[in-house]
Amino acid sequence: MIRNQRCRTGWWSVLAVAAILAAFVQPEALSGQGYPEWTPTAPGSPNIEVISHLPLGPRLGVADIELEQELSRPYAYVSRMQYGDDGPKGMDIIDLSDERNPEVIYRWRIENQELHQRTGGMDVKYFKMDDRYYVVQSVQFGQGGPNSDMGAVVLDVTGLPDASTVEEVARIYAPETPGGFHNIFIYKHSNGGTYLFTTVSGPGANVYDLRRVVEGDADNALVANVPVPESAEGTGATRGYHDFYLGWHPDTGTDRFYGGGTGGYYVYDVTDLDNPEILVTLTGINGVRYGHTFTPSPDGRYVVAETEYQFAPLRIFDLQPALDGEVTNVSRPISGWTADWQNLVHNHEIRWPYVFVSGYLDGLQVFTLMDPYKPTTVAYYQTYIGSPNVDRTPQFQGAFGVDVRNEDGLIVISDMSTGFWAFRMDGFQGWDGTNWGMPNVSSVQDWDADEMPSPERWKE
Amino acid sequence: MWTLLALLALGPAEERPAIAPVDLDATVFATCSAVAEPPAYYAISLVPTRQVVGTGRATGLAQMTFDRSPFGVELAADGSYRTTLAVEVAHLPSIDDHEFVAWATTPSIDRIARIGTLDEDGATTGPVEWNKFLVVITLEPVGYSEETSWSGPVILRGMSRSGRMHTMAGHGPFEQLECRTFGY
Repeated sequence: MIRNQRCRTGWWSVLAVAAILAAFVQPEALSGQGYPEWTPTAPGSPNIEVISHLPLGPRLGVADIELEQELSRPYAYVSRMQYGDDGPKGMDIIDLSDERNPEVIYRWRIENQELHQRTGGMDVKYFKMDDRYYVVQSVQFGQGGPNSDMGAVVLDVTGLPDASTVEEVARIYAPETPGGFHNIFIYKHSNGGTYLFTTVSGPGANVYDLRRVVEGDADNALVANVPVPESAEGTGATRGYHDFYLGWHPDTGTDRFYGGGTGGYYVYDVTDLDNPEILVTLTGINGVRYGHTFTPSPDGRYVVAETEYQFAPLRIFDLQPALDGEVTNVSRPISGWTADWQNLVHNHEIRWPYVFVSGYLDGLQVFTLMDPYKPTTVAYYQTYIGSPNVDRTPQFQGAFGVDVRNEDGLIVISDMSTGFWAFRMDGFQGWDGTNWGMPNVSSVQDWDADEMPSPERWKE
Repeated sequence: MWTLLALLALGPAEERPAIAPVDLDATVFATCSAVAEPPAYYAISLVPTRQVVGTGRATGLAQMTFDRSPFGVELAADGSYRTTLAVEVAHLPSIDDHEFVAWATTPSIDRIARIGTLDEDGATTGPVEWNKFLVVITLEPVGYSEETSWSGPVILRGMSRSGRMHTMAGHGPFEQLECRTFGY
């Protein structure tokens, strides 16, 4: 639906974005180059160093990426999908022990992959439990072939780099909502549990207790659901999330869920998983019918919101009025950013004040939210030098996923066609939120911590 | 009464339609049985997987013919249609000590039936008794006679027309989401 929407509403989207810029965003608040500054012979900004590049196979054969955070475990996990005519369906494990010479050391593939319909591996996340390391690879298989009710596979990767020790420990199925999990997020909850949040083809996000999964009780691991509120864009069962993020909110001592989906974006308090409480809605936003990736600043005040159609910028919202109880819905962005207005930027990782973006046709992009009203591009590297697709949705090409290693600032990109990339950015040698006057909260989970970050830890 | 009889008697006998002898073969089977020609609607395109060098140019078609019975379409014991699958594949290379074998399998691959080994013209024919199924052409060692599953790489694949039908599970009644709702 969204895909078709993009195809048929291109100029509608232009008008919608123009309306936002003209009516709601201060003229100086939209940043971005307007035109790509890269050229085929100078694909990156001078402050970006290419550490390595590893092609992985046919065009349009790569999806998302996850980087383990401990320096002693230099492994990247790359989802493998078939969005083009060819490509595997599964996940690659890349060893970065010699980060200038990365090597694929393990390939997980769904059995009989040629007979599985649709794309295959989409999103990938890792977690640590009881001193063992696991990877969850989300999958999407269509009906008419096998495993259309399969959502994810869980691998025990504790024994890496010895690839012979990788073991499949579980598969998670969602037969009530065929079509698999498009996006996933693994969150270490303040209740001590580790939970897998998944998109499904239904009006909410499924929540799985990963302890039950790894202990062999995957069939009973579904413990909660975070609903998508009804909106003008969707009621009944025609609702869904596309992507989400979970983070600890030190100011209030709550676990928060930030989801993009039907109607816009939603913030929930999920401290009590049995009773998710809606805190803020972002609906009625000009140009937004369906939210995509949605990521907060470490303190939860600002959010970066993506929509998935050509010409769409990333929109920046200030949630403070809602967090203060003045309003319940926020519909006006305070600023916007894009790399090239003719394209579309995709996933992002916030390491305040930096936002690391996998910008589809624009490759790796980095901008700063030091002044949230004036997001400013600080670095880029074009991982995909080529034309938009002519056989698929034109903008779904190039840099798909991005991740950042907090310990040392290594940046990785999964490009749909050119494969795996690793970078370093001058002056970015790692990230700890407390160094920026923020909680040390990002998509990275502290698996070994006994307690959640407190406000005192970052306001001293 | 007499008037009525007189009118009936005066009616022109030559305008009454003649009742022809019943030809069961021509009438009952023609109206109640499936046609013998494979319906184009149910033809299954076979797509190369390009898993083996030299097979990327292969093209193929599997045509379904619904088997006939005195009662119309023939059914298997479980109520599924009995069909005959005629597979034809072109542009396959000749690979030493190997041959191509056609299979049918249910969507979940829990049941597999061997259709047959492709002859020198790339053709074979065999029965299928499932409503939804996949057609698979694999490369096997010459003489591979296993009936329950393939062992070699999948060279071409295809999906029966009914396999395209999707359950609405996960959605409310009359509320349909397209397959690619969630984009990428």
